[in-house]
Amino acid sequence: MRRFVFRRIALALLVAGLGWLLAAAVSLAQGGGGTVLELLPAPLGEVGQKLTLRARLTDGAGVPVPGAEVVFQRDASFMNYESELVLGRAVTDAQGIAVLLYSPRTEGETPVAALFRGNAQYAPASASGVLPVRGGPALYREEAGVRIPGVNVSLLVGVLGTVWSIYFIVVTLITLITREGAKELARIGGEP
Amino acid sequence: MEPVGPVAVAEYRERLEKRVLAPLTSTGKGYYLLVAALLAVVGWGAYAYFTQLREGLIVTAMRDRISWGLYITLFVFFIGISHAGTLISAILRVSKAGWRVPVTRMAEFITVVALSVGALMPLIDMGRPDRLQNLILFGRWQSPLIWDILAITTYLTGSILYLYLPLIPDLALARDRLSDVVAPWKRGFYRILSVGWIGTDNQKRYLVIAMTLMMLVIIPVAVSVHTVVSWIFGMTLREPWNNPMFGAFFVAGAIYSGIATIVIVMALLRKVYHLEEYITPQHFINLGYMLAGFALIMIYFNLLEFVTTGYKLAGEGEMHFRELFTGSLAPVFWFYTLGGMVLPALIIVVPWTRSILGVVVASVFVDIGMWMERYFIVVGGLRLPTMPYEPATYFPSWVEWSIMAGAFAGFCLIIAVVVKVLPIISVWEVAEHYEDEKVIARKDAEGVLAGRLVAQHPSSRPFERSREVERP
Repeated sequence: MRRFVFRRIALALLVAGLGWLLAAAVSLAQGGGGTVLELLPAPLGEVGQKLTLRARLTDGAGVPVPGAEVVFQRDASFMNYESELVLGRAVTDAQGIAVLLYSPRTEGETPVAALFRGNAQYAPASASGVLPVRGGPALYREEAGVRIPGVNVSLLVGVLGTVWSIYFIVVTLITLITREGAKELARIGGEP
Repeated sequence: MEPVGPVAVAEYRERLEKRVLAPLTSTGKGYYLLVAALLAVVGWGAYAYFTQLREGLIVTAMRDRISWGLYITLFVFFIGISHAGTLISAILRVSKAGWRVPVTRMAEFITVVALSVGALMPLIDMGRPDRLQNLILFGRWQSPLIWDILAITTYLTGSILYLYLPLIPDLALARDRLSDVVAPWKRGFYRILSVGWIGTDNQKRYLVIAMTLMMLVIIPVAVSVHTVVSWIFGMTLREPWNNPMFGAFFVAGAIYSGIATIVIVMALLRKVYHLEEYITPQHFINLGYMLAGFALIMIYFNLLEFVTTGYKLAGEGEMHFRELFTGSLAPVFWFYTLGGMVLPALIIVVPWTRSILGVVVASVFVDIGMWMERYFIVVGGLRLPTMPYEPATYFPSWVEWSIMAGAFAGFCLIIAVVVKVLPIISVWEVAEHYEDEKVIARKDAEGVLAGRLVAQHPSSRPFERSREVERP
């Protein structure tokens, strides 16, 4: 009797295990475990001109994944802070291709990345590449403002210093008035 | 000018001293009532402020998008009227306008009091005044806020010196005349602040040099202060404040509201302390002409601004333009334009309304109009969205209204206290001016300089006139 029970339990466990394996195999067949994101080579861009960034998303079997959101980003730094700058988002079409129009602001080889965050059906995937850009100087300056020789904090301090020096002279004159009054009173022997 | 003898001049001086020193020795019941009422309002404002300090700025109507409201409006307004003293005193002194003499002291008082009250407003606006030190410790020289702190500190110090210097002979007068009739603390006050003035030649010389220096330095400092205040707005990336003329606009508006405030304070003190002999209708008319002149300048500046932006209606400018002319800020804008500029100018230009009452009424309209202008500059500028969302709304909370009432009551209270301690008219300057005029008239009558009338006119005696301050 006891042996019969053990056999039934072992059989149930075996069936459950086979079921799980079968489900995993089906999932793999649908591509959930092997999503592939590929950043397609970008054409040579020009500073300030729009260019097309493309990324293709496929499942493990190489079947295009449509309707998935792909984020395009690049490394960026602002003051002492470094992070990723999101260039834009696009949704994949029937061929699994996401397209983003982007205007680069600096020349040179800019590292860019595409990112698929994954969903219930497909695992996350990412890809990176280089965006070649040529053209004039950057559309923004690393240092703001125009440096005019002499126009700086020293000028401000100079102007303020002049005004406060005049105040100091005036206060000195007031003390001279006081001293003069005291001297005169001492001379005539009176009191104010 | 009717000629009079030396006896009459002496009588005039005695009468003047008695009249001006009278408020320092006697106080009526009405004064105490006024002070009590003002104290009550100041107390209410203080309660509102402590509520804000306890609860935080959430008790105001200011939020992330409209973060400057009534407090900064008041700050700009008070700094504006502080130009009263500089204009009336320094500019007219430099231009040797003799008629200014009886009103200079009041103008200088207004400057110091308005600056003191106005400078409190950014602290109240901060919400956490204990963080003021951060502005000093971590402030950047490139920031207009730092320029503003430096400019206002410099101007306040200069204004106190400029008020104090011509007070010295009058404080000595109070020390000598009132020693038997005032409280001991007042005697000590006059003795210390009169710095041993007995009118020696050297003392006069030092005083003249000091006053001349201050007279020359205080004008550019005053102009710079309101220019810097305008830069707090003009240096930010907001379309309604993106106006290179903002500095000139602010300075003109400051002088405009400053003159109006002088007229109002002058009329009140003249009535209460019976100063009709010294502050005559002509003083009101002269200040009225200056008021009308600045009204025209303000109208011109507004025309320049709104015609150019209104013609182009570029970008966010269109929205701001609509807000002001037909939108939610239209009532404030139109009151400012018609009530704050056009009406006062008309009241003064039309001969039938050009009287003391007319000038005072015009001044009241000017001050209300200029307050409204400050309001729509501050709130209107921030109201405009910088991203695609609906314009923010703002209407001050009871805390803000209460603090504003407290600020105005505080302004009046300080003036009310000061007139009980310091002479409100410069006795020595008025007496000297009177003497000058009478001596000229007497010489005319005696024919001492017969046939040389032109040479006898004050304006043709630049040396003597320029040295008028040498005879305190």
